Amino acid sequence: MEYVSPEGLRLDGRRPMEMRQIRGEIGAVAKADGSAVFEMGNTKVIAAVYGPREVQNRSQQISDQALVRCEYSMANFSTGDRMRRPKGDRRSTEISLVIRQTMEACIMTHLMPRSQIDIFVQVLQADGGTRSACINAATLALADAGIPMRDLVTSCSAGYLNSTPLLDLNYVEDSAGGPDVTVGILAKMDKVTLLQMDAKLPMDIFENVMQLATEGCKAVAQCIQEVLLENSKKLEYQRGP
Amino acid sequence: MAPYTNIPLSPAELSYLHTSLSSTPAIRPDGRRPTDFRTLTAESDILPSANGSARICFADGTEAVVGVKAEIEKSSKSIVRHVAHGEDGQEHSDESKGHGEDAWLQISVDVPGLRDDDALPVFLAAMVSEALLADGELKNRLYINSRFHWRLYVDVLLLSPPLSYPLPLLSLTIHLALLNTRLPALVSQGDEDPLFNDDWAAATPLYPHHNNKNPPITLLVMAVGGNAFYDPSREELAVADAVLAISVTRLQSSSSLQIVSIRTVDPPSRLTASGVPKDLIAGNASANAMEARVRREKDEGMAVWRPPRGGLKRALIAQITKNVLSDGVVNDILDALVKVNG
Repeated sequence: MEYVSPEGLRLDGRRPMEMRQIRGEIGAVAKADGSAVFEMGNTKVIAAVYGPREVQNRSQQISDQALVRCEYSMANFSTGDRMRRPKGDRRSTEISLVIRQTMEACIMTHLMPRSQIDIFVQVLQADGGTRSACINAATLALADAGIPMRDLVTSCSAGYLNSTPLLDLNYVEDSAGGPDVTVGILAKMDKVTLLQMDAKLPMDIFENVMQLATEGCKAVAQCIQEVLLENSKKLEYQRGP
Repeated sequence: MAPYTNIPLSPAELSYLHTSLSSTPAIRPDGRRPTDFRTLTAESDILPSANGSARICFADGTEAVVGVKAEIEKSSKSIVRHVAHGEDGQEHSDESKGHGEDAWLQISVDVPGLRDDDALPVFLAAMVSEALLADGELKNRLYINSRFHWRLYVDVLLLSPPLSYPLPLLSLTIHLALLNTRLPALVSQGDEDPLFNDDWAAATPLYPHHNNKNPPITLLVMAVGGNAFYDPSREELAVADAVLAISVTRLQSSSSLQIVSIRTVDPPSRLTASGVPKDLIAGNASANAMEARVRREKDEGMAVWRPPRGGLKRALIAQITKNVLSDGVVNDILDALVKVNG
């Protein structure tokens, strides 16, 4: 199948190096300590953060750092065809783990010993790149909860189809079975915290594709910073002089 | 329903709440009138990929998202035969459009931190679908022809752990999502294989606007003493004598209301600990355990807190159901939700 037309346009009309429209919003769940909605094109994710709070299960308590837990779930109605998704299946367990490890890398857990931070991510609409969107939403929610972090983690994916590196794959491109590189970086420190790839790629092309994904992450970071700044201004305004 | 035992109130506080709620006029802890609802935030049409969707956030911070999806399904053989029989029989008139089956509506409730097969989600899903199917209206709308029908999936996501009985929240959100639900317009006729107009703008609403008929909503009504209260908060539920879940729908012809189902809900107040009269504890060691128990049983005036026992007076149930149909609260809610949908 042709994923890039001779004119250099993708199936949804984007250029190979173009991202989908991204949008972040803080404070979606009233009850949570921090929450956010993050959209990348048609992918829509809602994240809620509770904590730092007392550890619920005492046997899991860590004496010198905080315990970070993450639960990823996908709504039954999130995909094109409705699918019944039992809780705790293999895929959601794996993505929960990926998100947890990525977020743990940026949270300053040593400042909050003997406490627990819960991150709930819920996919409302899935159109490729759900794990990137989840990580971005979780970052926003953690920042909203005021949890100390080393840096903002942002994530973006890139693929390689029709001998062209493509940024931010949507569902159709993702299910083409080609290589799919998901990168998570600490934006300012320029460090990689997550790197996942399906399928195979030659080394020199992989570097190009990863470079592209990293550029995407930086663009996302800029967007997230703007959202946070906007939110801080709003809070300052609400507090009054 | 699995009861919430973690009520952080002492017997003295419970007694105070009960006294103020059962006095006339009743005084609610947050100053509302008995018929007042707490503020809520509602929005509809939040998910472009679903047939209908809605999100409602209650004042206590509980929040739910509902997505409705419809799929075409082949009807089983038995229905085909049934219809063929109906066509040469007499009972054709009102049956031609009335071949809905309960199984065509599927509701699932997802509560964070609970498994899919835990008691609470299963019970909530059963209770909500019971009300939706009770008037037979919804399932008949899912009928396409004798060979095909729509299967409607209603998936409820609770975004926050349930603080009090989440039934009204679920019911209102489902109501709003169903009002928002649209099905592709049918182009084919009769018993042909169904063919649909692929223009989404031409899709027909599941509940047309000109038609006054609405999906039912389920409300909690709480009784304390002789008073009834709408939208009880968590603290109020902790002293409830009885809680009724009443499902109401609005009739098509007139704008009059009809109750489609009533259930009594076991209130959490039954699990509270009872208080001990002051003279039995303050240095008066002579009173033995037997005497204390007798005193407590005879404590008619409720001098100390005692968890409610027994049922609800029949006259009070009659009063409550009459009020629900006539006091305009339900009409206000239904009108407000229609306005949200725009």
